[in-house]
Amino acid sequence: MKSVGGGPGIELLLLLAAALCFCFVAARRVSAPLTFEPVAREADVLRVVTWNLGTGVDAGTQGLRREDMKRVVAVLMALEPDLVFLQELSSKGQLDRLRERLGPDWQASMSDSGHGRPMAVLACGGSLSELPTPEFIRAHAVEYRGSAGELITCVVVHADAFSAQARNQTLGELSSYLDSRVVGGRTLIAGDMNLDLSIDQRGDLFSDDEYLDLETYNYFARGRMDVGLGAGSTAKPDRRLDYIFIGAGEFDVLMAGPWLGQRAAEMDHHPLVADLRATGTE
Amino acid sequence: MIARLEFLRLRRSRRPLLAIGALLFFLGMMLLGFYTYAQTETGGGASFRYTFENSSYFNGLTFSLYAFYFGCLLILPIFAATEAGTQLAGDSASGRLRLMLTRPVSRSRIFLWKLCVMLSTSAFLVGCLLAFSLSLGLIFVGWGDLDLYPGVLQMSARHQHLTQSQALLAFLLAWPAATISLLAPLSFSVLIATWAKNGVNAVGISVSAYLVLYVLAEIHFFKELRPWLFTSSMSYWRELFREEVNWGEVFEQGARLLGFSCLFLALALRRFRTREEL
Repeated sequence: MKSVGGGPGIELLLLLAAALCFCFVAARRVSAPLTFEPVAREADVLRVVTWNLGTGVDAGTQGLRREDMKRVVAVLMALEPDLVFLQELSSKGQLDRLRERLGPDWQASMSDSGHGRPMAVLACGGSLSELPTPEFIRAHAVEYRGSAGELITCVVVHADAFSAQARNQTLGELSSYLDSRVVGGRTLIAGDMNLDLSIDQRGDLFSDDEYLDLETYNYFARGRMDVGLGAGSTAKPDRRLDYIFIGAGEFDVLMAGPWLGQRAAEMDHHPLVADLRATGTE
Repeated sequence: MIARLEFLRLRRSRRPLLAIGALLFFLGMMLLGFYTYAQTETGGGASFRYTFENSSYFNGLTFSLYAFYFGCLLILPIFAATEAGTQLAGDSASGRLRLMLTRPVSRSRIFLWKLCVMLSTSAFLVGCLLAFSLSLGLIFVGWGDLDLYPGVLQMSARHQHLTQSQALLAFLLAWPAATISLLAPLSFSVLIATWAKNGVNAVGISVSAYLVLYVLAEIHFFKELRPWLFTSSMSYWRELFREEVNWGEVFEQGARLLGFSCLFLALALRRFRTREEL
């Protein structure tokens, strides 16, 4: 049967419409995940780093190795941070050596080894004083008083890697602990929370715990701001496990994300870095 | 004339009624699941002590959104495929199309009127799904403010709190937006129907191909393929449920779907115009 006229014109119009739509889509800027690149900063900008220094499964999951110390020191010196939250150190002696290499301006406070490998908060300038943290929480809290007198409650946390329920307990109890502390100043919570979520993307097949971890994340994020949201993955192969949370409205986030290409070969986490300015200080 | 005939045939076929029946059944099951889940999560059955889920979170608007989400992605595309398969491949196999072509009317005209009928049916079904889910939510659960938490159905990256009126406006806007998203699987099914020998084959192939593409778009392994799949933009109307809507994102995803739809329709029209009707 012979085709009747009019059809080719409509087809052409439809193809043209399709081309226009696809051109519009292509013209829109594709936003890549945010990553951190260290740049000079103003004096009132606080640079914060969290880094899990342990090795990955391929290297037998151990704390910071002696041969990686030099690399860690070089990265921290390049970043020139004000506050550093470290997880998976090997020992107290190792932290002391790290602090000595960083220089005399550095203060450090370390958790006891009751919760697996030690974690620590380091500060360049200012002072640190340890806060009592309940035994059952896998976290270490300190009070940081900066050189300008500002007061920040800092908590380094390392949640369980294998149990979503344990992560829920750790972060839930940490949240309650922080809420119960009636003190002035601001709050920074950072560390390897082991929450592997796909918040606004399709599901990840890596972990079966995802929907359970969502409960924990959403509970913990209430009244706080997830500084690294929208930044890429912080641990290999493609997982966002490290977080920096601030009290809502306490800081402006100038830049945040993992600084890629800095981890030593056997380490499985990138340093997560954020430049923050305390609100009302500009 | 063609339009009147097509709408009359659609009414007599009772396909819309069957689709509405299926939607009501789906919503009934969703309501049952919603009740039991909410009771588990807010009662003593919760194994996670620290959770954002509470009794005020589980309200009628949350139910409507959940039901609309799954309905749009998994139920309505099947009805769209059925409509396309019946209208084109079904008519071709039964000889109705040949009968229509004995009159002085162009194939393009027949195609466009059939497309109008399919589009109207799709828009009607999206509206029905929305109206029924909101009504059931109001009657059986009760409305309230709408809270969306990160990760839940990938609705939002940050916690969103919408007042009841903001949420209802978003639902209203979701009607045309979801109709556009349904246009893509509909056009895809139209394309397949122009190649299929009969309606059953057309519907079967369309539904299976849609499900395959949907699964590919959902699974993390295939994230590089997502820009090339229309199914990865199907739920773009979620962007409307924001305290501050990112209209650029809405238009981009909508344009992507319209682009795919126009491409499929152009290819389908070409095939429809040139194929032999025996």
